[in-house]
Amino acid sequence: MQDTAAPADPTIEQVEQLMISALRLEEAGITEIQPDGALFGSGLGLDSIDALELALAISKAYGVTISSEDPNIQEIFASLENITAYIQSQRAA
Amino acid sequence: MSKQSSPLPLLPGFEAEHALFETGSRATQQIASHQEFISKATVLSRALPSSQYLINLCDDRYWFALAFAAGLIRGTVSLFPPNRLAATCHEIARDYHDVMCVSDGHVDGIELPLVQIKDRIQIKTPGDAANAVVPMPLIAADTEAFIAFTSGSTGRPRPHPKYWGDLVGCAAAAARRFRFTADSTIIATVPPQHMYGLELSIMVPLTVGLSVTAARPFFPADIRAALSRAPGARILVTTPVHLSACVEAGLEWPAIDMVISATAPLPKTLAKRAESVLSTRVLEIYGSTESGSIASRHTARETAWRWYDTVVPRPDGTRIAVTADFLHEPVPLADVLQLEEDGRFQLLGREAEMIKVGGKRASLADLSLKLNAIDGVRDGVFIVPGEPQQRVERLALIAVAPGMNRQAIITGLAGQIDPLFYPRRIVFVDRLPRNEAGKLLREDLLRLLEPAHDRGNEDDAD
Repeated sequence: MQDTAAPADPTIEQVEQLMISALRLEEAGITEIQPDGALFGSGLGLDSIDALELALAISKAYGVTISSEDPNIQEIFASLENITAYIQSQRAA
Repeated sequence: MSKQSSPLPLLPGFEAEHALFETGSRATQQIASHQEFISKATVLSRALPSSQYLINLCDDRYWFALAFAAGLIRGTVSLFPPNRLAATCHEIARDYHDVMCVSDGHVDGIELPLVQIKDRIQIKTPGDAANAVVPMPLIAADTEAFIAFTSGSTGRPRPHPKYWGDLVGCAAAAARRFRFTADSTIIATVPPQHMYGLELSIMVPLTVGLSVTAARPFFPADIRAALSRAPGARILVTTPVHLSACVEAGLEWPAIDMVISATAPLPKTLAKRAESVLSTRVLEIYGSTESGSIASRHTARETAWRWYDTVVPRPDGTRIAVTADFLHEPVPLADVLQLEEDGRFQLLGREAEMIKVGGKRASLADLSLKLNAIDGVRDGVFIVPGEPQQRVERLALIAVAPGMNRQAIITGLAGQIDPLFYPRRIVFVDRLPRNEAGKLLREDLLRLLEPAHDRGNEDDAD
């Protein structure tokens, strides 16, 4: 999923920081996110309200609107690297 | 009690070609008409294996309603679990043996007979055999239509049987209150298995004949897309959690006739904000799984609730019970209400949340409202630590309040509540553990009081 051709905007580190601050993960002792680790359910343990908040933060920071009408929505939200790749592809489009 | 026993149509608001469900997505928008719905429901009622009970796990409202209607036609009682977890279904099946599950998608780990509804009935184009004109199915008013389950205090799902005539009666009362008409479209973010979702997104469409979007939009962009596609006057049926996300999303919104909110208290500030951002009216429903919806208010403008027109409150000792033409018997309310002379009422708090400290009574809900009114407190709740039966010593408080410390919270509460109710213990967290419906479960709150959750952020007691 990750675009490796050129330094794309935003970087995976920037999206990681956005997630940590938007979901206030630092206060829960989470300071880094595995690029390919599961975010929801048994992984990082995010819930549906986190998904709403994350979508909101992404739209505010990058102008990318997250919608369930994208058939790959489950995959997009599966991991940090997938989310990053999706934001990059939307901004390039 | 004025219970009807005469048969009622499956679709009281029937008008053959009128749309009942808006199905499909942006690319493949389709409509299921009233006629198509009763035809498909009739076909499905014959295609399902026989069983006494049916656990309806369908996510999509169209499939959900078909399975529910098929059950009504053939006399199979639907069971609506509080979630889609296999473990919950298994637990329910321990008390309801002759049971099958019906779903419109994969269900992880289910060990009960499972029918994939889409394999039983194909989506057919209008004019197909499955859409042949069939007579309107009639359902006796005293038919046990479904059993709703709530998480009981014992941890086991608690059953609440619901009857067809009562469901139609309650939907009709809601329709009179909100002046629903057949040319409206409902867009709902709540699941149909939930009592509020069932009433507003299934029973109201069937009873009034208005249409409803089959999908359950989740993100603000989804909600906006579903609203934009919906014909007619748009009614958004949602919860405070989704409403808050919509308000913050910075999107342009299509015209919305009204927003209806339930499942958790809607803060007045959010109601006002939503009315401004969405250019609409935000109305709030009061009810419970036991009673169904029974009252409403225009939250931005009034604090008092108005009963639905056939609901009558009956003081019953320290509590209040309600009767209505859509209730089999008087239903005692778990909440503490204060009846006003003009027939309205104020909601003071949940009975379970009434506490006594040093001989003084207070409602936890009311204390929490005071807490949330403090500048800098984003979210917060009072809780009784330990077992609820035990004598309350002092309260605890869990708050989301970045930058605030214990002293700031206490200063904020000073003058607002009796010092007896000041929290002995304060735990600061980044988020309260609200579930999908925005509710807080006591067990989740108690977990936050465990020492592991202390953030060293001023939560000492003495």
